[in-house]
Amino acid sequence: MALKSMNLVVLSLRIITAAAVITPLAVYYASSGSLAGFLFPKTEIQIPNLRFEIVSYDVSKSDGGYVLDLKLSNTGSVPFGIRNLEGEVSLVNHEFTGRFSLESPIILASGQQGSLRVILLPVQGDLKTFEDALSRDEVFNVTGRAIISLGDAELPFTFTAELKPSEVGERGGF
Amino acid sequence: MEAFRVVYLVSGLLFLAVALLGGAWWELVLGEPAKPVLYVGLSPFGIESKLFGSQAIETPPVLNALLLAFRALAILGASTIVIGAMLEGRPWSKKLLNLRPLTMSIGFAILVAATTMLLPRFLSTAIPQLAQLTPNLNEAFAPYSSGRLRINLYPLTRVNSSLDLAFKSQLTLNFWIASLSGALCLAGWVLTKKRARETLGEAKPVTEEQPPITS
Repeated sequence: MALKSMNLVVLSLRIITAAAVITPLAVYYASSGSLAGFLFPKTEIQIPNLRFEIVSYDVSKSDGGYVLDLKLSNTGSVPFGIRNLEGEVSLVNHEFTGRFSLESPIILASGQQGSLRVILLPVQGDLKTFEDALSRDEVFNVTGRAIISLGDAELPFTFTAELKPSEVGERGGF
Repeated sequence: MEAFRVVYLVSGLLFLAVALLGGAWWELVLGEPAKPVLYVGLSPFGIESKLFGSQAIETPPVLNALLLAFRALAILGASTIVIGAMLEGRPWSKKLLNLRPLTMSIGFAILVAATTMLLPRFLSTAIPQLAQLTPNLNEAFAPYSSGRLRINLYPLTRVNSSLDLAFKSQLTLNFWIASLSGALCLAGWVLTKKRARETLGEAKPVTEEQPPITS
């Protein structure tokens, strides 16, 4: 009697184990329609489209420095923003160094436009030197760091660039 | 209750909790933990990958079916351990005790080690630019590591710019609970064998003495 019940338990366990493996496979196979769709469906790595454009910009003088007003458009598929931005600008051929920082964080939903205000204050040299150099399309260095917001994520971003004013206009975004 | 049954009971309950609650056994977090850029969570019961907070890869049906089957087997294995440990008087109760928590934990650890070892090599071969973009990618894909991943954006932007992201890869609490369950299971199995040997040892002298009595 004991041996009979033991054999029954063993058999039941084997049947339940087989059912636990076969049932999900059968259900998923039936719902996918074909063997190819079950084994190798057409899947794509869904990388969000990250893209923004500079719509317009305006530079004005304020409190001994500059205020750069950038109008941005998020042309990508995920929310984009800048939570923090700070750095330094210096001229390659003249003595001028300035510090820039973001006035307030900006987050743009997909398809949305908004303004970004960056304040530049001179640390070394005067603004006239900087203005003249820019008007002559002279090279300047920009270094800084930012915290970029993309979707639900935040990315610490550092950058160093040697640019010309004419190149800034040409870039217009990533 | 016999000692081995108590050990098996605790093991079964722990593994049942892990199998029912779900959650990753190994995870890789790239970026700030609260708002990660990339999150990859693996367990024998599920795969989760999020890029910028959205699901990045859809798992194929065959893999979903296998993961569901693993979950069903884990719940079944843990349930039978609990029932087997509790039904002391039944002669077939020992047949319900199994080592599934141990085999699943060890199997998962081997799989993670192999994946984290092979994936960077595969990615470097498939996308040769990756070595230029992320020179220390191998460090991030280790079973247990933390540090900072530098992504060089110059090849993409032509401006000397980089992303400096914190990364952390680790075996989670779920894995360690499953491993503890596996270790207890092994201890229960050892105790069962030891007890069986002792019973056999006690029984042998009696059977040797029996022939003279019966004859």
